[in-house]
Amino acid sequence: MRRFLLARGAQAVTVIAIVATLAFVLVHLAPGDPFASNLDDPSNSAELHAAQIHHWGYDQPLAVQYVKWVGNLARLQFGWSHSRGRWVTDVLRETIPRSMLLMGTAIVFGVFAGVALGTWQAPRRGSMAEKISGSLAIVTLSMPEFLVAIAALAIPAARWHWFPVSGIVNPAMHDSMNAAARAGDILLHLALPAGTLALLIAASVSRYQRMAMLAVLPDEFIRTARAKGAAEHDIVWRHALRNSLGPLTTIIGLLLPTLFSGAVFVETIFSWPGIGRMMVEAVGTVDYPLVLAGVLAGSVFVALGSALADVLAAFADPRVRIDA
Amino acid sequence: MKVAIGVLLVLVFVALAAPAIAPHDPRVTPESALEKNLPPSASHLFGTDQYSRDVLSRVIFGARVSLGVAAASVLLALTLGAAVGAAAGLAGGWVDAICMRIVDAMLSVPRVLLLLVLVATTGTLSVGGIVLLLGLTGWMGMSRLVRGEVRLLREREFVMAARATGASEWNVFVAHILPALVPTLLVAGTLALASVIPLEAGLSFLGLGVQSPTASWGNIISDAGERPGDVWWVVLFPGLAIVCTVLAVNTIGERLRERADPRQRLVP
Amino acid sequence: MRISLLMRGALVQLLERLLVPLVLLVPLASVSFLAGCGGNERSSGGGTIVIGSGQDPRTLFPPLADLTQAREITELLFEKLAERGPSLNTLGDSGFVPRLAQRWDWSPDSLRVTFHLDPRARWQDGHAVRASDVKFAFSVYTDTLTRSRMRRDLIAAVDSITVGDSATCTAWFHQRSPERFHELVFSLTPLPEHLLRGILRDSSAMLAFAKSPAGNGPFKIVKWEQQVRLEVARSETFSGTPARFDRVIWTFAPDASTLFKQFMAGESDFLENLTVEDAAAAARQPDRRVIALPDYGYNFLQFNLRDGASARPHALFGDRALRRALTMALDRQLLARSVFDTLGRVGLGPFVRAQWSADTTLRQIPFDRAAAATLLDSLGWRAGKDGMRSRNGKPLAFSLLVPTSSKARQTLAVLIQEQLRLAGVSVAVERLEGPAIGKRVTTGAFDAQMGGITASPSPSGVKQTWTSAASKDGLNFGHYENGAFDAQVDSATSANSKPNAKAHYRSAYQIIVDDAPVIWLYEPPTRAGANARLQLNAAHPDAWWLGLREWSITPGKRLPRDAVPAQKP
Repeated sequence: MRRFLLARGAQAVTVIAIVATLAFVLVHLAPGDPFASNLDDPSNSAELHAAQIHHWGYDQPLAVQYVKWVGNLARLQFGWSHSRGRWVTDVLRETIPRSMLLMGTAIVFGVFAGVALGTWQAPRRGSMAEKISGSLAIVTLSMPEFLVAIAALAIPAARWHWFPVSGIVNPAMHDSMNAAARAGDILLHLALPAGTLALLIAASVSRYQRMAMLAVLPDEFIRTARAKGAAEHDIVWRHALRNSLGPLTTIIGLLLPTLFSGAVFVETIFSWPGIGRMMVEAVGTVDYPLVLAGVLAGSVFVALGSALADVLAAFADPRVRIDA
Repeated sequence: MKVAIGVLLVLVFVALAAPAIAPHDPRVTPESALEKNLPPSASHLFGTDQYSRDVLSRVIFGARVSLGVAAASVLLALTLGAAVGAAAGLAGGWVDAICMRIVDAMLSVPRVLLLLVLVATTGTLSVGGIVLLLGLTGWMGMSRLVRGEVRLLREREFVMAARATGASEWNVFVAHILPALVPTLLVAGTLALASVIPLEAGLSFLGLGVQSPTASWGNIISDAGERPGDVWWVVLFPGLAIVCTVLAVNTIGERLRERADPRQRLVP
Repeated sequence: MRISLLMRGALVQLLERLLVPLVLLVPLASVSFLAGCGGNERSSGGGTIVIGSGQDPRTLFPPLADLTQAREITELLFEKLAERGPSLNTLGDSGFVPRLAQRWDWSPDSLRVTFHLDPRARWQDGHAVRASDVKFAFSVYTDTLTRSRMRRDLIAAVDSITVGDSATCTAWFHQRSPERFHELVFSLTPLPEHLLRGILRDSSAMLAFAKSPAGNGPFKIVKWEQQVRLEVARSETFSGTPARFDRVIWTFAPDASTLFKQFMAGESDFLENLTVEDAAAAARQPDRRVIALPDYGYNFLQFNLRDGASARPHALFGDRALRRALTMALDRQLLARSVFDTLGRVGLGPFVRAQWSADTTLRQIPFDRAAAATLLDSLGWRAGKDGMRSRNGKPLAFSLLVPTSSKARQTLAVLIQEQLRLAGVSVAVERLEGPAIGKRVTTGAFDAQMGGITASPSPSGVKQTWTSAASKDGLNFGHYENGAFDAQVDSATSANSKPNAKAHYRSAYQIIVDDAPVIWLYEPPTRAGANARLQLNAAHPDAWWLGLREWSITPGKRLPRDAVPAQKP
């Protein structure tokens, strides 16, 4: 087990190292001095520009620059964001937790709904209800995230006023609320963006869950339980469900990149100030340090997330080994 | 399956015959400049957008761009993926290890982020540029698949036999391995098509993909602009076009996969 | 194997245990949420106004806060010496309203003005506002390292500022230019010397000040969460008439549609810059009001008259006749109408109709597609088989930069592209975000751009935007240079009487309109939306936020958010 953990950890680190190197190559392929735009910004002095060039070692040989780049990353220094007029690290410190909250909520609710749907579908294989719900899941999976988000924003929020239109908290009330009300305020703002992502996760998870259940249901122990006279409901929701959850963590790990891509659109449409919207805006304002920090954060998130998922899966079932 | 193929054929026909079918000019015409945001009617079945353009005609012309970009980029990704995968699989050893590590790393970057970084360094793109970008970010998964297949095929008797007769690696690859890869590539390509169509639409929606006035399904939706709820027709019809296409392509892909390898399971 | 079974069991148990609390949490939280914000209608505080805004201010440091987003906040946090009054006069000092300065008097030769500051004025950290703070501010504004855009106007008008006693300071002008008083009080905001003197060269300390400055205005900053919201509260240390609101909150969302939805849902009370469609939709609601703000913006298609960053003329737009032909090919009336319906007004020149120098009788280049075609033919640009023109194998084509932030300009760019296509000219539209456009335009890396200028009531702004001097160091990015135009502008800005100035402005405008360095497109109608619960007691004609300190909430229309008191920062 320890060897597996080490191998999986090493794999994640390798992946992050390669992404960081690719980012380094990209920033050097990009035309011009990546801090040049600072000069157009009246709030930044020429000294700041020079200091940055020096800080990032742009006045040194490429090999030295690469070492410096790695060193700066290790100390979580990503440079100056000219479009925000702040250090990138400060921007990340605000945006990452917001994205984690959004995606975490979406995973929790999406996985629950997906597992429930798949478990419910399996014993009804071939029935009309199963066919309809299954087709709905496939239709949902065929919809681009931004389309679902637009619909969610246009109808329940903008037309019916059931939910706030955008943002993360009630701007005028949040600070004067008690703790429970604050949590409620955040949940209310989370509902639509997280719900959009959760819907897509649920559709995907339900398909795996249905298959996992179909694989488990004919098993020996299920027949034993049935022979013992256990109720059909208990057989499905207790025995079979329990034994079908093995691959779930692996599947969540595999869904992470898709989830992150979805978050880019959902955050943009709901004005959720997380890392996805940050990336889109950084691209629009040609803010290289912010773009690179965003892509690094995204890959670290995905690499660590899937490593964690694999480790959890290995704990749950040591027979499962992913070739490192 | 039949329905899916039918839908796809209709869409391809629409794309090819766009100028003949479209009821209006998909661009702004001076005469119509004041007919903006009209709801669907007899003269504009899908309504008009904020530039007074006929949405039906734009969806029809958009089929050309959206399907064309998707198909071309998938072809590019297939070629790249097959090349890298085959090289890694045939060479083995450290070449294989390095290739696959890089592929792993690139796979762990969410594709949208990768595209955003590339767009940030290149700036606004032409349609060709978008094909290139989508192709360059789409080959990694395919190369893994191809590499796995190639490693299996290498050990198969007919390949061993061919190699034993003294044929060069290249000839063995072209004559024996490549034909055997076709079903895998076909399945991978079809499924990739289903993921590339929404991706291009999303990029164009964000204003980073296909640029107006060239119509793509994604940028038609972004033309709904300020209040998509009020001009629902500008969102709904291109949206339906996307969903139908993806659904059809996905269905075909799943069937092809089942046929090619019934043991294989879903992998996102 | 045993571990795995245990783990699997534990996982399932965990899921089962989590399910119940999660399902319960949502209604529970909603109930407590309602409990937390309900009631308290009795409170008689000043209430809270929520303003929807598209963008964060980048900085709250007054010398750098030159964009509207930053001005509307800094001008509530800081109090200037005097404010241009509702008359919008910019000549002399008539109509100006005392603010930090209670009064001012002129030297007999009118080259000096002495301000008498309010002795009770305090910075928000409790220190008194002194005359030396005004002098210090002048040194900061005019320091080239500060990079303030107000620097040029200030040094052009004011030679120096001297301190009399702690409550009097004197500004020394270079000459008796008619707008010298306006240039001074409009540009200069007093700054707290005791806080800033030591940190001017320390970028991280300055960053902190720019984020949370201590001002001397009616409001003080409470909280700024970038891209989410910014909250200011009524300041107790303010010596002038206190504002009526307890709190002013800006919420930020990047796209106009989200902002409008927030406004219609009652999440925000005030929204500037409604599109024509949004304004119509808001006007249909009984509890939303649409306010016409004075229109000081004018937008245009600007040609780059130079070839990139070099001093050579641009291959296409160096040619005056070609520029005129392109202007003729555009139906500007139709363009303005198709974006703004009946509110669309065609741009006439480098001025807006609301300025006193405006002249609607100038000789304009008329829309005439046939004449444009003839002119293009005569210039050697022949139409090919596809109708597109070229000369010596070089197509008549250029790229047009459009900011993504402006829906109207994007729409127009597409329409212009189509109209010029009919004239055989091919236009590639490049959409970029504001800062990226700024970079291209300031470095000369563009053919043409959809530009816009928000003029001030003073017509002398043309100096910074269209003269040869502004081509070297200013906002004349297209590098239009015409000595005759410069001379007329100079005469106009130093003229001693209004009719005299107006005559020179007219001549200047006619010269630039004939030269067609840009195509004057439209004056955008500016509409703001206000929730009917606001009482807009004072509508300031040129900057709505200057009246905000007198706005209040209608007593019967208070919301839970109005009960929240001004917080201690």
